[in-house]
Amino acid sequence: MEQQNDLIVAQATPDAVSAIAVVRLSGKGASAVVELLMKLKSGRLKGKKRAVGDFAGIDHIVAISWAVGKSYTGEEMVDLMCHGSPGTAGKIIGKLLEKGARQAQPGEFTRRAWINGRITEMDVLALSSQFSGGGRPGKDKDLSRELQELTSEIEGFIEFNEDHEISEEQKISDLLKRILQRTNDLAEKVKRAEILPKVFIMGPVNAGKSTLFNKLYGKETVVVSSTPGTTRDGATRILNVYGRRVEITDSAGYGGQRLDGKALTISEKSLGRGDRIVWMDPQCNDIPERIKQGYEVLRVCSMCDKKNTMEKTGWLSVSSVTGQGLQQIEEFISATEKEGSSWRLEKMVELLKKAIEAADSDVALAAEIVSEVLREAEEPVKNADAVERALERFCVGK
Amino acid sequence: MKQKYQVLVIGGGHAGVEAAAAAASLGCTTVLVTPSTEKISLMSCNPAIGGIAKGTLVREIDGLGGVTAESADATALQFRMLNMKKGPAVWGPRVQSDVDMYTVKQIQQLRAAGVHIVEGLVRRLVGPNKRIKAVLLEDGREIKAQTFVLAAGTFLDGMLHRGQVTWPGGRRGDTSSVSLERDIRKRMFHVKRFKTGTSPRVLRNSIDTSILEEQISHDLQFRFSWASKQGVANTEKCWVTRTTGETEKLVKDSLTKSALYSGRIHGRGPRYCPSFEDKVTKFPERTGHPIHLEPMGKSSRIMYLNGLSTSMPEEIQEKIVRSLPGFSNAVIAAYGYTVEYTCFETGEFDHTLKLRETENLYVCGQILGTSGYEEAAATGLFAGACAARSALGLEQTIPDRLNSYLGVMVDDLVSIGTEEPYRLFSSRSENRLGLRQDNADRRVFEFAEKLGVLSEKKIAEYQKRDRKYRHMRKKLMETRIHGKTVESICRRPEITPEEAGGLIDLQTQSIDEREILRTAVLDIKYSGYVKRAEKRHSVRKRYGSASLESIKDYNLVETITIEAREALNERRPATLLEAESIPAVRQADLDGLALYLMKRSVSRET
Repeated sequence: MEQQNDLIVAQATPDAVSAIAVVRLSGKGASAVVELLMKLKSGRLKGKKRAVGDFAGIDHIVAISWAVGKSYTGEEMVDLMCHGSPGTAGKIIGKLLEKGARQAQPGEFTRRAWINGRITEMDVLALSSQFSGGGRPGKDKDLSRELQELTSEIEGFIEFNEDHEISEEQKISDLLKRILQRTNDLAEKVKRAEILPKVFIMGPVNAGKSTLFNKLYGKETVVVSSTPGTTRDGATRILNVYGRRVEITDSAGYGGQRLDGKALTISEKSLGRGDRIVWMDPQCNDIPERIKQGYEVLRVCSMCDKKNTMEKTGWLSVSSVTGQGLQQIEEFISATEKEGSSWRLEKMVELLKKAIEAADSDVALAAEIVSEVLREAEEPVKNADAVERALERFCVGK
Repeated sequence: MKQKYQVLVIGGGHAGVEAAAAAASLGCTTVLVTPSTEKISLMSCNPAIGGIAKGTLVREIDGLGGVTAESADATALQFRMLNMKKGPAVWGPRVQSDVDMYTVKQIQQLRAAGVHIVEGLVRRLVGPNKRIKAVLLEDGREIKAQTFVLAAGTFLDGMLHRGQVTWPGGRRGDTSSVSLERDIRKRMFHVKRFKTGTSPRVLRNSIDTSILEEQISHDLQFRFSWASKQGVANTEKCWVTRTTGETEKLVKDSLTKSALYSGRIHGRGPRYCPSFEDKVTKFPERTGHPIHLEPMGKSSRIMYLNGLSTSMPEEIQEKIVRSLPGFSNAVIAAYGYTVEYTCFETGEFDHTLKLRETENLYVCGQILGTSGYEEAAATGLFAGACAARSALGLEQTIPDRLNSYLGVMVDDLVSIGTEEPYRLFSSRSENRLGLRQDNADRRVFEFAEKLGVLSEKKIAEYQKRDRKYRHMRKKLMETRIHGKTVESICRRPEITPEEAGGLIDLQTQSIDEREILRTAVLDIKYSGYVKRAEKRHSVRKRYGSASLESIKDYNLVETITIEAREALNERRPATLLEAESIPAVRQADLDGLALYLMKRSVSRET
């Protein structure tokens, strides 16, 4: 889309009256632009430097610069601290835009940090969770390091213990349990932060949408999240379908005999790329053009247990009463391309439990399982999508 | 000498013997040159074969038609299966050996293989680097050959150190190969210095073993080689004692007198088989290090002190030994020492263990940078086979690191290199649950056939075992208990191989059959993990085909070393796999390149 290290700018502090405001500028030429606008000698802001002075007649500011590889984004970066009076930061940004900078998109600074290897995927998710009140991210950075330490402990136990008695079996088991605890905590934290793929159940009134919704929800044995806030309204639930965490909305409230344009727009607003729609209609009428073209849709001919129901090619016959077709609906729901990220942490938790079980009689097997956990923890871009979505949640400027 | 051999092996240690035997098994006229026939395959350090990963390697050697396994079985005095409680994948079979009988057995096997043994010390190689023509012995004889295997062990300019005393030698009581080392340096091969040490030996009768803990042997009917018809003997006792605080204090107080710590030795030593001086320095708070008392032979007067490798002066060694419980009247029969020797730098040899500068000189054992008899023997076998294949004009084949510890070791030594004597560990493998001691012959058979080292008899014997294996797998799959196949029951972690085996009707009687059944069950148990390891491996191989053509200037790739940038800019390889073969490009650089390519593709998409 955009060039990777082009110059981006944004206000890093909230747009409100405050003592100071910070404008962040990152990308190739960041220092040079500021040097020009502050009338500084060329090269004055090369590397980690601080300069105080007038900025293009707008304000008296403090500029702090970082060299490539040393900044948050990993690029050439300058933070401009100006007074927090209304409009000041805006004027500064305007001046920078004039000089060729581009307004940053939400999370773009962090995305660059991630791409440039300054932070890991886990950091992004943990950071994101900090923004939604999930706790401090700093400690979580060390999970993969801790796993590595555990691995060396186990390997020492396997290779040398016979002669040198380096570690006890008990110790291995304790270490495993401690890591399990930490992974579990992190999984909970990330769950709170991640944006899940969505599935909307839509269609005309009395098509059996709510019945299906309740059926799916009732079948669900593990309610994955009971955290307040994840349930948006009475008709949205997070379900675990074939191991996928998915947000399902019963859009019954939006419908009329014919779904009107306004209701459709509301639903569309919350729909994103990769989200899915289960369209239910016992009459198998044509579905609105905009839905047909924009989204992945499963056409469902509902109430097929009743007499005089239609059978039409391209439509799945379903009965919430007999259960016919329910499995196909679940398959459709779980086939979403989008994935939440907590499933990886949950997988790590499951694996660690298995490792603890194996540790007593087969340390070699436990070690193999731990290395799988480590691979999960370290896989850098396995799920770029999850990171992208977490990045979307950042306020501009982080 | 008029006769021209097809393969000439320099050195009669554990590497040289396997090299000569392998070359002969391919049908080459083979000569082994050693200064002293009576010291062929001498165990110059501890009197034992096997251990964790090492024991598995010995079984691979057997599967590759080597001689070490059979000799170890025939001369065993005691057997232990290390790591018995840590899972079948890391079981480490280990035997105590009769050192003298081991030499005898190895010579017998060499003779049976048709290897010609010549006594003599090699003075230098004859001919240009590209194509060595002959070796010149100190007595003036010249022996011609088509290909050569250098297996000089610790003898290349070997220097022995004990306290303040230093003298030339590859081993206690031997001289060193000074002129051959000079010749190698003159030929501009890149070399480095490594060191390794050994423990003092004591007279058995001077030790009060009544107060020592006996090391219990395991009676599992074990044998390294399928050719050995009985489980190894358990005729000798071993004991274990522990150092006292007194021992550690003695060593700490005398560190400046140790050859190791007084700055006399410049070679790099093994971290994993440390001298006692190292143990005390690195773990100052610890005491009670276990010291194993092992016989040098059946009813031998002399016992080896495993775990007490030291290069202290003789009078300090006396004090150290006498500080051990039960050792107050101990008499030292031979003092410990450190040996420093020349070996080849990483990058000098390729995956067939041939020196890159030459067309017909192969290297193996400690001069590759390895440590241990087992590592030496396995690399020797492979180098000998490659030399033979070259002499016969056959295409070369290299072992896959996914299928054998031999493959792991060769690849590690060539691709990663080693800055200290390389010891094999089970954790060096990416497929540890697959690389077990019980299935060694099954894993290496395909490679052994390609390499051409197996006799028809051995192939037929393997095929017989393979048929039994298949039959058992079929039974495991077909037999059902309460509707479930035994195969699915095998997968449960709490089910042992013996329990699963008991569920099918096979009337297994022989130890061979019991072992094959065990392998069948374990293969099922771990199949999921092994498959995943294979998948990752093939992904890595596919990675290798990634194109590097889009990288115009490697100086911009910050994730790799400066050496790699220079080499890559110069050689401009088309793919990652081609980059791999450039010596200056190491594994970390390849990962760095992969990462760079991946990141760029990510930033293009966003």
